[in-house]
Amino acid sequence: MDILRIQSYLDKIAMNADMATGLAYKDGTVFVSTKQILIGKKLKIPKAQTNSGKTPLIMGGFSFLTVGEDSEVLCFIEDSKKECASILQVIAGSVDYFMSIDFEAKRESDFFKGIFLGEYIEERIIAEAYSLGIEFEGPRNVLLIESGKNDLPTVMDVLEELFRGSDDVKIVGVFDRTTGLVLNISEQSTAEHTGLQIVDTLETEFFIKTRVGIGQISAGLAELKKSFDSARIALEVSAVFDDHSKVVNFEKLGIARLINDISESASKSFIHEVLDDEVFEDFGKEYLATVNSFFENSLNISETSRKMFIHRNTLVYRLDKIKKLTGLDISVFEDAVVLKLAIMLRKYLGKATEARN
Amino acid sequence: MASVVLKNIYKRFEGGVTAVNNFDLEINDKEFVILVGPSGCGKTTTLRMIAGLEEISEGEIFIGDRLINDVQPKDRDIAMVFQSYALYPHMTVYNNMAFGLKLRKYPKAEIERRVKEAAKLLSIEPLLDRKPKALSGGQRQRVALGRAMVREPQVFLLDEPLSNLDAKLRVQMRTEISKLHQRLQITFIYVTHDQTEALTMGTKIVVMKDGFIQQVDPPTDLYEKPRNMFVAGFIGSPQMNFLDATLQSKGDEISLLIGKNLVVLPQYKAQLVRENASEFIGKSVVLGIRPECIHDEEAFISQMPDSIVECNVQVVEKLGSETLLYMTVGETSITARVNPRSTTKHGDVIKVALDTNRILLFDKDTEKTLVF
Repeated sequence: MDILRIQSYLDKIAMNADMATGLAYKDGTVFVSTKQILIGKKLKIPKAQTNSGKTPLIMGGFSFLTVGEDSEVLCFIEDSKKECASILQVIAGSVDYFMSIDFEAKRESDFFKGIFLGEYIEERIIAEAYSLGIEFEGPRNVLLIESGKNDLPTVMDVLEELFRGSDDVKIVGVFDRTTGLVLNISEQSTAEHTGLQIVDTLETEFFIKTRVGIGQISAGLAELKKSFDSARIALEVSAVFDDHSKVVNFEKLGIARLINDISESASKSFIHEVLDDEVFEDFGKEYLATVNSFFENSLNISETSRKMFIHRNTLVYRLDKIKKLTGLDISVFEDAVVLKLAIMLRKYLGKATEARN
Repeated sequence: MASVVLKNIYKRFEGGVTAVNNFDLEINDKEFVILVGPSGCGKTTTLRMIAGLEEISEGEIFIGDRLINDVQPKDRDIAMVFQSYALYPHMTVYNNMAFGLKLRKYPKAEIERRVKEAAKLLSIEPLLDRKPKALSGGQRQRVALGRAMVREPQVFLLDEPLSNLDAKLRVQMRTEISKLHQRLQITFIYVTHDQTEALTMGTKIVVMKDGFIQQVDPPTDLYEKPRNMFVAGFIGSPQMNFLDATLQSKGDEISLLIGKNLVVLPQYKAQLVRENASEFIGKSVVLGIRPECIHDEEAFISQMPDSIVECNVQVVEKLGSETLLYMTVGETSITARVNPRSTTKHGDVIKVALDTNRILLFDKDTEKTLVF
């Protein structure tokens, strides 16, 4: 509870409403008051009030109202007029809000948000870190949890409970449909384990489907933006190429990671050379599936034909057809890599165009 | 009523990958069904489609009489426990179990009723005021189950919930989950890659591979009558032995030539070969035999002189309650589970007897079982 903030708020109310106000515990002990003399004193509290009443009750010249539900705190005004009821309800609501917010945590989360969004130069990061008592150096990782927009409040509630009081995990807040976490860790396996725990807890408790992107480990706060950016890339790229992994690690994206770095013009030029629209149309779904299965089975003809439930000769015929269409013999590793890259670039550009439109 | 029926279910991902192929299964109300298979076989994807966490590409799923294809997961009357669950570290056990209901705005009295009932069933009432760090691994697992139970589901979905536990705790929790199923009297669908877990827990086991159902049967039938080599090799530990053999016929006798060894089948099995696999006589088949059906004791060998095979002993593993002999027959490795008092040692060339009543024969090309 941020007592100073609440005191400051009550002082403003008291000034404008010209009445003493404050907070007391359920036994009547006053711990915040705009009238100094009341602090530490024990007021007589109406019994009904200790049962979480919704309307103010009056006793001994004071009006009382419980703050929030199940709260141990009452707010009071040193006045017994009926008109005090509405002021007391406003005070109770505001104090309830203040009590629910951890302002220190909010300041920290705003700080990390600023780093993620590139709003700070290094000197500012050092200064803010110092003022917040956060170590500047030290390995950290960013996790981004992607969920539906309507699920974000529940995601935040669950994360707050999972990591309440943790020195190693900071919840940063929401960007578009993702919630950010900063982990103090030095191993990706820890981040992956944490990611899986988050996904499984959200799915089993609340049926919320989520994905977690894990960024590269940064050596300190100065590189944390890189971790954030790579976590974002992990989510974006995996959405195109891998639609069933729950936790995606940037460092395990493999070739898909490079796809993101290739310029659109270079991609289009490569696609045009290897697998232009005309050739791709001749390919069709069946041949694309054949190519993908062949790659998944490590260019093994027997295994691929078995998995696809086609005769070996059928597969060989299809590979020949692919060679005629593209000029590439994908039973040879180098040609397989070229075609794989072309297919991935087509898919990635296709999704990017969809997103723009 | 919480039967679960999956009709011709397919799950296709982009790029032509089909993770689940024509999955057709009826699960009766209150059954404990296990989906088992190697990694990537489609068992988790199938479970997630039942939960509504994965879209169905084709087919229909019913819970009771209700078609649930387009029903939101939260409205399917199910509860789930997955492998990497986490308990809220700063909440008591009570609040861990109540948290989901609180966020869904259930009345306080209702939350209390559900939590206390679940705690009673799981025997964790004395732990309600404790926090997770004060609990043992088994107790935490029970809290995770309790967190799911408070939803009062018709169907319980469990995806490898014991995988993160150590071996001893896993064995203990298997029994707990089985007991819970008996107490709750609701339908359980459990996914595991561990065939031992499958055999010990389920009343009906679905063996999967490459997205297809290989066999659906109770544990004993899976073990004794596998439909193909994959099921035969996957179920049972140590794995079933497979030996290439030539099926021969001489008069009334049907025998198997394994290298230089001749094994004569008993009459009733010979009859089964004639009825079901006569076209394989004179051809190569695969002989399957479980490790516990290979005997090195003199008493057995003398009783079954027509089933002797000569083996080279490579490794002897003494496990206390049994001994495992790792041997070769020609180039093929086999394993025998023998009496712990066996004196066979590494380097020996021994004769073993195969229990011919327990021999299975498989088609080498299709890998299907010809004769049990």
